[in-house]
Amino acid sequence: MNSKRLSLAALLIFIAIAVTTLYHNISPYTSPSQLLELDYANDIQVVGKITDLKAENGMTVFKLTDSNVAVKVVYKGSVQQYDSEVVVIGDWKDGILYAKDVLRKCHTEYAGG
Amino acid sequence: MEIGNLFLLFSLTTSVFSAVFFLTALKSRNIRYAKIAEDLLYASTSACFAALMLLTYYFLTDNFSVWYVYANSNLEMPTLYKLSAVWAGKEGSLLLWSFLTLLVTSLYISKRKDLTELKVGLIMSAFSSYLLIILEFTSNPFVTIPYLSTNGYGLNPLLRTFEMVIHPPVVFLAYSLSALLFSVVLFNSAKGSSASDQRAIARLSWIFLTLGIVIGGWWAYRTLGWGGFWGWDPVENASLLPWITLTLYFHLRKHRELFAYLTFTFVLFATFVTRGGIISSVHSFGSDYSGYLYLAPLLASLIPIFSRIRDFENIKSLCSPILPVLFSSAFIIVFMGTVANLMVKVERSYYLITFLPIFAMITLLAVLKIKKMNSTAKLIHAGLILLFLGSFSVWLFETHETLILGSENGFRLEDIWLNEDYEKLTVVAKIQTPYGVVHPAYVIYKIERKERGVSSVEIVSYPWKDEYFAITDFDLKKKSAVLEHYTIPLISCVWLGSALMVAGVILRGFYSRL
Repeated sequence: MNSKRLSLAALLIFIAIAVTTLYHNISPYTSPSQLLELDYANDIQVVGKITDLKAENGMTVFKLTDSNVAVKVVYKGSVQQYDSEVVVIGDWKDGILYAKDVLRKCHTEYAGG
Repeated sequence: MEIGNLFLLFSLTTSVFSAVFFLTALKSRNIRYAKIAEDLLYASTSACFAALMLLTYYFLTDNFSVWYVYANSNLEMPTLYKLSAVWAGKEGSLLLWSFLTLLVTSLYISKRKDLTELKVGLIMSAFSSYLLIILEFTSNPFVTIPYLSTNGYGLNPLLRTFEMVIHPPVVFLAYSLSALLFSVVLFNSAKGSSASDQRAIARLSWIFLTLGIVIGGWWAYRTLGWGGFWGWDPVENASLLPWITLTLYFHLRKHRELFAYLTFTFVLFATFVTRGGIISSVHSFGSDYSGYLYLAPLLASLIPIFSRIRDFENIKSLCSPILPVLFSSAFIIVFMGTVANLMVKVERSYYLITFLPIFAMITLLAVLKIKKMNSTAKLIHAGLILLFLGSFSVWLFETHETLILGSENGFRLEDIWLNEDYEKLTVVAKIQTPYGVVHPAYVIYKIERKERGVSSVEIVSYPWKDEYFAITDFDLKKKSAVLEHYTIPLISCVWLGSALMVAGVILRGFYSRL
């Protein structure tokens, strides 16, 4: 096998490994509207904007909205009413999203830039 | 009409006519038309600079009747950040990019007096015109609001750092230089002064692209409170793609020009990802679809690549036949992850499983070849080895714990208090740790913007690791705080390695007179 073919084979192998790894390392985002269609879910990632932020019994409580509907989120940690969307990772049961983590939209996409 | 708009319109008109006269000069081979085109280009650059200076003046004088100033500034903000706010948003950063593109074109054109000048002038003034059209019609920074606001909405607290004063100009200068490199490579022969022009522009592009990425990483590390310098975010990844192609450009003996084209293509891709408003993604700007306008030059930039696609088969590396394969694999891995991340969440583990081994193999090649390199190449590749060691350690061996202070051994909240000045409230915690007393803080700006708070991290640095502290929650009444504590091994290697690489390329430029 000449070096050109060897290089091509190596590249294809690397790409195949990357595609397989990517397939096993992705998880979809869910909107609050889609979340309401589910009875329960674990480790789900929901995208939306934070509204009605308040503190209740030492927990942070807020609504996560996609402009159509809003779901209640309970979180042991602090968040702000960010201008941008967030991803809430948590468990969905009894109509409440129990957040384990709240990820912010990328900082580098500053102010719509 | 707002005077800034007049400057923009003048800049756009002269830039368009400059392109027309460059084309006429090319067709007629008449030197008079070339001179007119050149003068029009200088006029366009000057008008764009005037618009940038006027916008800066509006920021410094708190002219909140201009919407862009209102949206990104407030009275209490220090002057330095008012300056950085000029390019903190979509409109101002595009104005800066347009100006820098015109500036690098003018500087190049002023030095060359041949047919290449006309061709490069034509492409660059057409590209500048396109940027100015987007600026004027979709991202105009001089839009006024009908009422006078007494104060502005305020700059995003995350952007109130010194790094953000310099990061955008450095990145956009790299973007402008990559456009110039594309044009010069497209029309230059690879011999004589043309080849040295190409090398100089490619080196400058690489230096500023690298500096832009490193300053961004440094800013993320010092500002965001998550103890890392690289989050594998689509915007970060998109900035890495042209860096990979440009780095490969320097390592090729044959058909390297293809990677100069790809560098510009992926600069435009990065712009599209950042400004694209791709729906159903958290990494989008929602209703802002002006980013799709960058697809037109992106597709145009693919023409020279597709027209010579068979040349990819005959690419020859300067050092190792496997190197183009490794770089291409790294590129494809990052590209696939970036595109996938626009629709679904891509776990960090994807990059660790795929990118890290490729990075390791590239580093291994550098280790094997470093003895035979000249002194500047040694410096650059020693930097690469350090960068790999640092990244490898940070990505695999960083530890993190969340501490509710008071209950953990070794960490004690000695005091927590509130400072207030005209601009902000600062909650400062005095914490006794096994690494000494640290004072991480949480700053809340008195601005209209809902996003007001930002962690002010404290880092205890050792040569082999950083102990990193950030407050994420606090209760002043109960005198409690939640502390995020990270131990980050060999992070100093990331900074030192990056610095050596940039220093090496600068020195190499000086030795060969850039």
